Formats: sequence, C-alpha cells, structure tokens
Amino acid sequence: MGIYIEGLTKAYGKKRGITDINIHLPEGGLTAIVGPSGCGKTTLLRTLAGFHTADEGRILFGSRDVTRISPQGRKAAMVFQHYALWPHMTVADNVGYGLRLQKVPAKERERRVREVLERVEIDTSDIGARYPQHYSGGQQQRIALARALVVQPEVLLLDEPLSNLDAKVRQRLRIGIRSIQQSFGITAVYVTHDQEEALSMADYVILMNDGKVEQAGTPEEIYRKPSTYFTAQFLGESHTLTLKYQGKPQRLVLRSGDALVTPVVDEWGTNAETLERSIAHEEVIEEDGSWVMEGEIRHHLFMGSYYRYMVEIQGQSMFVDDDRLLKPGSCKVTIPTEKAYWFDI
Amino acid sequence: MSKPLEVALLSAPMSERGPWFSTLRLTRRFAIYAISIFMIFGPLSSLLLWSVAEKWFWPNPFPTQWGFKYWQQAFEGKMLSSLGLSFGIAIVVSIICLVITVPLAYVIARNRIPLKHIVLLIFLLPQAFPQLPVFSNVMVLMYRWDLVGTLTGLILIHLVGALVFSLWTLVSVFQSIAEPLEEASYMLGGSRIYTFFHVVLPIALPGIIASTLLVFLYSLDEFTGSLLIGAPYHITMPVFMYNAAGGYEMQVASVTSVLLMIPGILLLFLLQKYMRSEYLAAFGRV
Amino acid sequence: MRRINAFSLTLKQQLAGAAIAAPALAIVTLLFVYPFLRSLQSSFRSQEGVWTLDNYSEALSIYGGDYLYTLWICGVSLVALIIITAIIGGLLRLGVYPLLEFIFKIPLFVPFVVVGHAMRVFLAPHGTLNSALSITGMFNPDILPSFAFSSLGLVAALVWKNLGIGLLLMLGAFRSVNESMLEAARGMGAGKMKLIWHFLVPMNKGSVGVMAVLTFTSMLGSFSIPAMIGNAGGSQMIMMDLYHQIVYQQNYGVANAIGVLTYIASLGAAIYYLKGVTKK
Repeated sequence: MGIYIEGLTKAYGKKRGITDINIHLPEGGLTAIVGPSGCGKTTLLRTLAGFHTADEGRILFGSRDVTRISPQGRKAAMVFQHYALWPHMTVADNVGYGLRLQKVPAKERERRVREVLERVEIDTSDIGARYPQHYSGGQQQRIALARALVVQPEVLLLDEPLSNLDAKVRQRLRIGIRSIQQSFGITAVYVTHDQEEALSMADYVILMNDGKVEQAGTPEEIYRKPSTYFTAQFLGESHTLTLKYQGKPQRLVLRSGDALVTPVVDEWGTNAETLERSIAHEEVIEEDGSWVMEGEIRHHLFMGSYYRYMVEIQGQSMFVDDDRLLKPGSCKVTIPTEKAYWFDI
Repeated sequence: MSKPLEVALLSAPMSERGPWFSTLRLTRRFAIYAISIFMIFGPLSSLLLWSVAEKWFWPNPFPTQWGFKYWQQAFEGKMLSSLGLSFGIAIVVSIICLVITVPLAYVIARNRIPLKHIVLLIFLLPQAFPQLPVFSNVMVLMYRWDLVGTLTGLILIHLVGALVFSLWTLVSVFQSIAEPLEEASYMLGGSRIYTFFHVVLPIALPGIIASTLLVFLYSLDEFTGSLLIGAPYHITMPVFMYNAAGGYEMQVASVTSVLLMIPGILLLFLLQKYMRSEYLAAFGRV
Repeated sequence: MRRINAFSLTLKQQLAGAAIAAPALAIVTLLFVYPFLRSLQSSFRSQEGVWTLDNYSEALSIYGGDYLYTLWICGVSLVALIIITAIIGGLLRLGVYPLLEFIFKIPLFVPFVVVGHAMRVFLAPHGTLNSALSITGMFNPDILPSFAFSSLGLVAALVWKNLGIGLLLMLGAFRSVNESMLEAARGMGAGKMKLIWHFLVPMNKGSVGVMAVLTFTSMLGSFSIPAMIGNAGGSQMIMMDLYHQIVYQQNYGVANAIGVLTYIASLGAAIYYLKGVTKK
C-alpha cells in the first residue's frame, strides 16, 4: 500500500506547519522523515494519522483517499515516542484493545495477541498479569509495536519511537524494528530527528526543512548527493568552511570522517612530506582528485578508538578524525573532491 | 489559560465526515452548552427573578409585578446591619488568618517545625469530619466561657475553618517556590528574615492574595458556626438569609442570596488567572 | 551551609517553629480537636453522668432510618456527581468548550445556604422550573411534580453544589494524562465516551477516589441544604436530627451519639484521604 501525498498543506502554530508537500512513499518500505525540530515532520506524520486535518491537498493510501477520514477510519496504526501504553491495563489488555473495539471474540483475540507479541519477541507467559510498567523501555516499545500491528493496519506510523531509550538499546531496537517491519511487509513511516537513525534504517529518506521537503531519496543518494546546502550540512558530521575559490568566497561542506590531515612537521621535527606546491594562504587547490588546504591542529580529543582534531583553516575550525596521535602545528588537510560539496553563498 | 489553545490545536477538527456530520457535531455542541447553562443558571436565575418580583401569582410564568421594592426594603432594614457585620467579620478573619498562617505555612513547607506530622494531622481533622456535631460541642464550651453571642466567639468559630483552609493553600504556595532561590540569598549573606521578606514573600504574593480572598469568601459564607454561636445576637448574612427563607419571605431571601453570591462571582470573574486550581480545590473542601 | 533539614533542628529553631505554630494550633485544638474528643466522651454518658450505651441505642432506634437514608442520599448524589463530572471533565479534556469550564466553576462560589434556597425556588411545586415547563404548553402546570420536597430535590442540590469542586479535581487529573495515550486509543477507533470510561477515569482512579471522599464528607455534613429542602414528611437527613436534638431537646448525649455515627461514616473517607495526603 503506497502512500501518495499531493500538495499537502497544514498551518500549525507559528512554525511547524507544512506547505505543499508532494511525495510518494513506496509500498512495503520504511520511509524516514527527518529534519531539525520545528521542520514540520511531526505535523506531517500527524496529518497522515488523521490527528490533524489537511488545509489543502490529498493523502492517498493506495487508491483510497483518506484526507477527510477520521483517524479511526484510516487503517493506520501509530507508535508513539513515550510508548503511550496504558498503565491501567495489563499487557494483554493493551495489545488486545484494538481487537476488542473491532469486537473480535475473546478466544481469537487472545490467540492473535500472543502471536503478535511472540513476533516482537516478548515473553507471553504472564502477559495477562503484568502491566507495562514492569517492562524495560525497549520491551515497552516492542509491546507498543505489537499493539499497533495486531489490528493489521495498512500503514504503520512511528513517531520518534527510539528517542526515549538509551544508546545501546536504541541500536538493537533499530534492527529489531526494521526486521519486524520487513517481516510484516508493512508500509511504514518513521519520523526522527536523528539523521543516523534515518540513514541506517530507511529504504527511503525524506529530509524536511521549514515545512517543505528539502530532498528525498535513498539514504545513499541523499547522503552522497546533497542537492542543497541545507541537506549537505544537515547530514553526517558536517562542517562548513567559507573559502575563496575561483576568486570568490564560497561554502565548502565536508564531513569529519572524509578529510585527512597530514602534519607538515612530524614528531622528529623534520619535514614529513615536502609539499609539492606551496599552498598560498586563503587558497584552496585541487590536486590528484582532492581538495588541499593548509590548516593548523589546535586541540585533540581522545575518542577511544580514534582521535578527533580541531583544525583551524583560515580562521575557521572543524573536526577531523584520525587514528594517529598527531602533534599540534601546521598541517595539510586533504579531502576527495567527490566527498566535498561547494555551494554559493 | 494558555492550555486551551494548545488543546484546540491538537484536537480541533479530527473527524469530519461530510457536511451532515459537521451539522451533527454543531448540534451536539449546542446541546452540551444548552444543558450546562440550564443546569447552572436555572437555579440561579430563579433567585434573580424572585428578587425583583413584587407580586408573583401562580401559574404566571413570570412575576406579575416587577420592581425593586424588596431591594429597597432590604437596604433599609436589618439586612444592612447583617451585611455590615458579615463584611466586618470577614475582613477581621482574613487579616488574622494572614498574620497567623503565612509564617506557619512557610515553616511547614520548609520542614522547619518539630513534630511536623502531628501538627499536620491536627490541621487535617477539621477537613475530614462534619462540622455540625463538633461545633455544637464548641457551643457548649463557649457558653461556659461566655463567648456565645459575642463577636469574639463568632470570629473564633470562623477562624477554625478559615485557618485550616488558609494553611493548606499557603503550604502549597510556598512549596511551589524552589528552595535554591532562597539558598542563593543565604549564600550571599542574607539572613533568614531578610530573605523571607525580600525573596520568598514577593514570589509568593499572588498565591497569598488568592488565598486571602478565598478566606474572606469562606468567612462571608460561613453558616453553621454563625448560626450556633452568633445567633440571635449577631446575625450574619447567611443566617439572615436562612431566617428569611424559613419565614417564607421569598423575595427578601432571594435579595440576600443574590447579595451573597455577588462577591464570589466577582472574584471568579476578576481573578480567573490567579485562581489556580490547587487553591480552589482546597477551598471547595471547606 | 545554612541549609537546614527536619532532622537537624537546633533547639532555638524548634522553639521558633513552635512559637509560630502556637496560635493556630491553639485555636484549632481548643475549638475543634478538644470538642471533637468531648463529643466522643459525651456520647457514652447519660444525662446523669453515668457511662452508658443508651445514647446509641436511642439514636439508632429513633434515627436509624434517617441515618441509612442519609447514607443512601449521599451515595446516590456521589454516583450522579461522578458520572456528570466525568462526562463534562472528559469533554473538556478532549475538546474545546472554553465557556464550560467557567460556568461549572460557579457553584464553587455559591454558599451552601444559597444553593438550598435557589434549589427550593427552582424546584418547588410553583417554582421556576415548573413555570418554565408550563410556558412550553406541553405540561399541565397543576400536575407537575414537586422536586423540591422530595429526595430528588435533595440530591439535585447536593450534586449542584459539588459540581464545581468535583469538576475541578476531575479535570486536573484528566489534564495530566499524556496526550499520546489518548491518541493511541483514538487511532484505534475509541470514541469520546470510550475514551472517558475506558481511559480517563480508570487511569485516574486515585484522583477520582479523593474527589469521591471529599465530596461524600461534604454532603454528609451539609446542614443548610437539608434545612431548606428535603423529603416532606418522610425520612430526613441526619444533620437535621442532630440540630433538632441540640436546639430543641438539648439532649447532648443523643446528639453526640449521632455525631459519632457520622464520624464513623466519614472515617473511612478520612482514612483514605489521610493516606493520600501523607503519601504526597
């Protein structure tokens, strides 16, 4: 069941509205909507869910126009940031509630509740006696997922489902959610502010900014081929340097992991490498498929498996990661041309 | 009062199923308002009607003869002295309450009192048990102390309820002030007293004002104690109203009722934003 | 440095605390706690000063019916109050009715005596409600019932007076419920009434309980409302009997026995309330 969004507009608060969204979310895939806070991603999701009514435009689930349909009638299910499990109901009652509203008989209900809980890897032995509070955060989110999936929705909406969990659980549940989504083959929309999460989990990423779609595409496309300055600087650990290139100042966006630092003077005090061509100050040159510029190592941070250097280039600072321990001082910074992006100011 | 806006945004038009459905919703909305207004204002409007009815013969739906005769009568007769008495007592009770409970509530909120739990228990009892059986024993005691029928007795009996109510609201007011605000002042060399007057009191002021106004209202409306201790020498407004209603003087009782309601409704109108629900909840209990 | 906690009060501070507490404690102890204890004692003594249970047997034999009637009336009023405030509170929580909240706060500020009188003129046989009904022409004004002098009038007045406080407490609790919990239910197809009775109320069992306790005690102890309206000829509220015993019979033994019976009825409520308060 693909989702088609056509000219969708919703004013909401001062920021947070969405204007003229036109996208297609592929069937059976997980689409991540990512963007800074206030970009309208949550408004978009809640409009898809039916909690907001669109001002203009259409939403189609497959061929079904759901724009004016209430949340109850959309056959979409939602997973919330704070789980939103009902504390006064047992786990079995929580998951079975949607079936109860559909008047599914008790026997059948119990069977389906158990089945779905097993698929999300929750022990079903005493779900009739235990309350959501007895479970860990990660398990609670799995239960919430089960509650959403048990009603066999056509669309699964996830609103920052992992942002309340600690880092390790989050990593594991990324894979968990992804494999559950794939095994159910359900079309999922996943809202997150965490670009790493979006890139790692999704089939398709929609980057939003200021109520509009900034760029959409596969994770690789959007990461490697940013079409706008916003996309380039939002994704990855990006740094923007304003440098003079071809006679006028321009913005160069690059990512910490892509750059390479070479000290001009090594630890024995001799020139480690003679610069083929001296780099004039305030100048960037292209050399062997890389951009080369002169910088100065100011500080370093020990990050465990690597070092992170704060390098100053023409009075602007950026981080570059390297495995070696380097001495502070002059250095050469190189970055492959295809991994650095120029934008006009 | 910023809340409704947010709620409005969250849940405004969630289920629209065509024009017939929105008409249904409108009708339902209208019905909810109509029922609510009837429920609340029905009885109150009866009072208003009766207070301006000079003659009203059954089964006329409206008074046969309108006029302010009974309002004039009320303001010429004994009611005026009851009105004066009630306001006087309410002012005295509010002031005494303020002086006694502000420091006490602060000390309790900051745990600077020995045997705190027993003290709190004592102040809980009057909220947990009915007043009449206890006050009838107070009457016996006050006869012994020659306080029945005196202003002192009347003020004291009002104070019992007022103190308890005022204390609970003020404790919650002071508890809502973060302790570091005071500690910052101590660290800079401010003494306990200086800090109380220059840091705590100004922050607590809106809450204190709200609570004092509610105490004033409580005293104005107090009935059980006033009936047992004050009557028949000192007749407060509620007792006057009760007597008038008991004597089937419908109009006089209605005029008095309207007068008794005015301060409360005025407070509700003017002080909406200061009347936090915690204060009101405590008020409703008394 | 200067931070003081409860466990390390110096003698000076203890004295200062005690001095601040003294006036309020004196008034409440002398004029509530002491007479409260006296009423317990007096209920077990005959007029000649002999220890006895006679007061209770007399109170129960004369007023036993009224006692049960009072509990029944308060129970019915409480149930009605909970249903009404849960629905109104739920509607306010789930939708926007800006005026409604203000309207329902009004009873909080109307004194008990006034409520009694207002309900009487409203519900009396020739009262405003019946007049209003007869305007419509659908009813014969002479056969309309008199609610004011029936148990129904009593319930109406008790419920009306407690609408304000009831709604306030209910709504406070409802507003603390996380929006996404309700959305999760709404997304599955739960309507407004289901949201109220399956979610808002059971999620706030504690607050609803506190509200029930507070209003039950207030209904039980209310004296001015039954003094104005009530069951003509039949059973009456127990507080009226108590007042009668004191003012007209001056039989304090029986009056205090009745008093103790009402304490017992509100004791359950009081314990529940104390538990709630001390837990905080």
